[in-house]
Amino acid sequence: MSKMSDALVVERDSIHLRRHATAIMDKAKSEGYRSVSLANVEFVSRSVADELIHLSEEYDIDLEYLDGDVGEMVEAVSYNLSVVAD
Amino acid sequence: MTTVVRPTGLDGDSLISQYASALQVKSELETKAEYNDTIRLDLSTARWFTPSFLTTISVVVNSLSEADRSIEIYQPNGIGVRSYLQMIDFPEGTANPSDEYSNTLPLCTIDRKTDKNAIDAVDDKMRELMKKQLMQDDGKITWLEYPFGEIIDNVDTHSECEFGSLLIQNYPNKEFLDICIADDGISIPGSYDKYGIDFEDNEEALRMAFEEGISTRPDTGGKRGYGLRTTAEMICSGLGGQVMLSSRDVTLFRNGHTTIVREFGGKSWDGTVFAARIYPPSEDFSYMDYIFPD
Repeated sequence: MSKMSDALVVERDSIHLRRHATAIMDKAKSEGYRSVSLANVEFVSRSVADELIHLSEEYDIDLEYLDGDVGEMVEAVSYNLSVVAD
Repeated sequence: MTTVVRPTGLDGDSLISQYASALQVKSELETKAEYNDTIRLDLSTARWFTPSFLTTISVVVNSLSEADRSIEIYQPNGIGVRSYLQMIDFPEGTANPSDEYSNTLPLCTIDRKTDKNAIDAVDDKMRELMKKQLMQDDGKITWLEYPFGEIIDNVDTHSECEFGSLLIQNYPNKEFLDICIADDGISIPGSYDKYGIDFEDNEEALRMAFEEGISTRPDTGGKRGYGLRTTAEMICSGLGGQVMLSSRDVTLFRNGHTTIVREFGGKSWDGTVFAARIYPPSEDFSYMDYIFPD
């Protein structure tokens, strides 16, 4: 299967450190993934959501499986960033 | 030559009072370490310790030990307090907490001179221990995981510390828990200085982080640093708790909606200390209500 259609699946069940978010997105970019799957992740900090969104936009890599608390956090931070940008 | 440091005021559960004692002890230990090879820290009369004392003194002792100063600890006379310090391995703590803790949470120490990713083990293991010991009936620990994640990320991202220390103490009979993380890093004003962000004085710098959420990230117009601000709002407004933030010569203490500046006779903490008292949430609490800064 082409790497261009694969998602990098994050195996951690929580991400607290911004550095870990950066490493995940950098790995996805360097290995040619088009998306990052957060299906296994139960919780991300606000700082991590901020970093994931920032790099998702910069690298043009989608964030997938944004369910539960993770989805709500990413959505809320994304909304807040759009308000700040305006 | 041996000299003795004998702290006072270690008999109540006030985060601020015990932090004041810690600053006094720090000042004495560091002054006496200049002229003495061995220092005795006499805790024999102490009747209670909060994380705001234990984490800060752990950082000081570990830092002095690394500089070849010998610190002897005279343990408390009280059996309960003495056994607690032994259980959490004060003051050295552990860099890689065991999964076997069942009723207490360990004193976690961070030594980034020997391992620049030292925070990772503390982060991972503490989450597992928090889940095991503090999970609510709904199967979640987000009310604690949110502040934990934000403050440990701040240390990892901003502090540039050599030594750090983290402790969570749960008091089920008192129905609250205390958390404190202390580091010997560049401080909050130091972090703003590094990125060329202006501030009038150290108090303004702390308020920028604590109340306004001014980020050091240069590409955002300074408006992405909301972790500390939303954490304080969640703990104080959402959970009825208290938060203390100390860096250099300024300490902010928030209780409810009121934030005051506390001073300690000119004594200061070179890095950053974050301490909080957190009450478990009510059934209708949602941490998501507090992640927007306004």
